[in-house]
Amino acid sequence: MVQNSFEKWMQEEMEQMPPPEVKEKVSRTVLLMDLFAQIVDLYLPRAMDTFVALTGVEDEREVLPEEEENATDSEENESL
Amino acid sequence: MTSESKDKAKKQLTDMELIRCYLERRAPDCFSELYDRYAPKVFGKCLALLKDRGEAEDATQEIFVKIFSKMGSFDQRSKFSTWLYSITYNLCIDRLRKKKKERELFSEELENKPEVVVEVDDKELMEMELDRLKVVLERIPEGDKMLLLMKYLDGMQIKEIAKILDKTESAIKMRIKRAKFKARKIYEDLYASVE
Repeated sequence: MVQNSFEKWMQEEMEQMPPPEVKEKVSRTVLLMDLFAQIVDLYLPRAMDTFVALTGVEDEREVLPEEEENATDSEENESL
Repeated sequence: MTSESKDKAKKQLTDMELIRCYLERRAPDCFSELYDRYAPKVFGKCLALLKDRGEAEDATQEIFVKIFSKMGSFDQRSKFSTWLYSITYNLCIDRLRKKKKERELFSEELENKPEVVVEVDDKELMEMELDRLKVVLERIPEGDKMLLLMKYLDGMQIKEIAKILDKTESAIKMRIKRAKFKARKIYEDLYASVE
């Protein structure tokens, strides 16, 4: 079997573990990123709704006379 | 289940099982096991390429943050280790390029690149005495060193290396050929007279 000096060399390099702080920092950063993503998922749609409401965007669709009639009918039915 | 037996169980999981566990439950122990499994390998590569402990630590941190934040986009067509090492090598290349704007990374990019390149047998490099191999690898351009690590340490196929470095397969074959030739030339310059 062919010996591989590259593997031997990497074994030596791998004996030097990164310090534990690196793992802690990675863990903290990943946790923060997850949290941020969750906040965005949860609150972004609401923030957008609020923004739309605040800027006063109105429904500019033209109401057809038939729709208006139907709406008044249903209102009457509800009052009965 | 005690924490010790839990740890043992985690150690028996495959990379893919750990990834699924992390993605589904964001479980810290799955994160921890994946990190412990690969951190020494990633750190070893960074140290070998960047040659600075502090920078290798920063790079390792950046690589793992990238890995865990992009875990959802891992397409599972390649092995997790190949994906991880491709990110490792690319990040090291970026760092080296930033650091050495004036120097070229691959011997192919050198102005005085060797015109005639002779094919060097793989065995010749792999069986080189460890201390000598270390000296030779210290003296070749970092990009060449990286190619040799990809091929002889990670056992990557030309196709995989080409994909990682975004080059054609023939370009990679040529670069590896030049890197091997360069390594042998350095070896001969240093040790031919000794033997």
